[in-house]
Amino acid sequence: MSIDLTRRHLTDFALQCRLVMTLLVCLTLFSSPDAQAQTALNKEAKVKAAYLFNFTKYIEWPDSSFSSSSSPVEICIDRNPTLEAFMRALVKSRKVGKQQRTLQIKSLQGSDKCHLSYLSQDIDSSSEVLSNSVNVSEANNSFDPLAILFFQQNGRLRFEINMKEIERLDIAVSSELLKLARIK
Amino acid sequence: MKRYLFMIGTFVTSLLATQSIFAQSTPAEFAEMSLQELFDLDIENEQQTSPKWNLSYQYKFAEFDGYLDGDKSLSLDEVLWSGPEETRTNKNFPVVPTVIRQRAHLFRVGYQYSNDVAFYLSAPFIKQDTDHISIVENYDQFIIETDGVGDTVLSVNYKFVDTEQHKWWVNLGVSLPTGSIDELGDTPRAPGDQQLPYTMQLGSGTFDIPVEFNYQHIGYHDFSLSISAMLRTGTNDRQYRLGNNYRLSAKYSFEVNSDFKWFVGSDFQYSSDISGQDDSLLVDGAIPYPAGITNPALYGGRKINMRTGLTWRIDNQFSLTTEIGKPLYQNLNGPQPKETWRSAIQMSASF
Repeated sequence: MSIDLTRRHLTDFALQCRLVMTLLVCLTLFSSPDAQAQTALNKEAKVKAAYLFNFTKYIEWPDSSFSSSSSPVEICIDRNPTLEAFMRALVKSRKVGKQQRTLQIKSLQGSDKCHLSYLSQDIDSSSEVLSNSVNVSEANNSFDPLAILFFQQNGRLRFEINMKEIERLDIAVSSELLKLARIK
Repeated sequence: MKRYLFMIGTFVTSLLATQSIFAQSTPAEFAEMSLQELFDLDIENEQQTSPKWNLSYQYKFAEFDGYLDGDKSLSLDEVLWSGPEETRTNKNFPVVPTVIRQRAHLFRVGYQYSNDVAFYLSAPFIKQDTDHISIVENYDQFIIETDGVGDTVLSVNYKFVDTEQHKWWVNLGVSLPTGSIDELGDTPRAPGDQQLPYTMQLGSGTFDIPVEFNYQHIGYHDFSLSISAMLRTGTNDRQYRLGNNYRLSAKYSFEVNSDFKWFVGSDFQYSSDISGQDDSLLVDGAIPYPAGITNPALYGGRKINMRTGLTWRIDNQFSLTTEIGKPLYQNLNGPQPKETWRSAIQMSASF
């Protein structure tokens, strides 16, 4: 019985290639937007993500902060890939503001520009990119400057707006947002 | 091949069915919420949104080609006993496997019972073939193939530290002897089908205990350490017990971006030889082993492997991982076929 080893090796390689292709095709076909939207995040994190999206609807950044009229609003997420993925699915195909800008979700690390940033507890305060960003975090985060702080009250997620920081950033905040906020 | 595609198709279809049952709050639903609705939403009264079920499919491939005795390479000519003109020893054989290919389709179902405890059931479908050369007439080159279900493993995973940055967990299970140890094939040992050597069997034939202890540092630069063992118990119906396996693994992974994670790892592995023996594999003579793989003492050894791969988080439910590995160092109870490389592709889904 003769064997052709080279042919058998190629068969193995071809089998693996076909399997990879099959998996990719299956994943592409079955990863519908609805499927991609589901998440392992807890409810509080999802609500925060929805708030971040809503903030971009009620905040107007000066035109000078965008390189062109079609530039997106850039939202940076600090070291939270799961939230980042959820946010990316949440803002997909959505536009905000007078200019109907799209939203771009990205990691804070490596970003050189952020319009709005969601910061974790132990953020590096030396990050220069944050000085021109609307920084959002938790109430117990000592990072400065923070424009919006999340806090909990009676099982609800609330937020506080730091007006000094809003003025410093030269952004316009809608009265509808201020109406629901605790003002500092 | 068609059978594999059918199995994958069935698996993916089951994922879809499960997905529709467990579909819950989506990003699109949250995007539609107004500020006032968010303001009024009770975040403490949380319905279950964490995934409860995990399904995964993994295809693994390993190839063994060439021989080692300790860490010394041997040529096929050195391992093949060429006949009466050459002295027969414990290190040469009239039948020599040349290339061994092992493939496994591994299906796993996991259930997250609580934040700390999860249960898993995994079952492999194994297919393996071995090319041989021999000095036996009409068997100068031949192939032996086996395939079927391997040993099924039930395990429980307990996380005893689970913070944002550190995770410690232990995994303890039992491997049930669902894989056959009675595989037959046509070998030069005698006319017709005979019992095949240990490497060609699909299971261990014994109840075994897989145990694993893990640490993971979580972040954009993940680092994990794992100590694991497969402890064999008793003796199977063919009067042998496969060797215990012990493994120390380290892995570093890096977030290339929010979708892709690259990893590189290394592991040190020690396996002991086989205890007891299957007498049906022996032949008459001073040296009763027709091939090295029929000698239970020529199993086990030490290996250091390197592996690297990429994980694609397609979304929070689906991920795809590919990896390839190669031994850097092998010291085997030889002569024994040496591993040349291995690879794996895994698709995982959580609901």
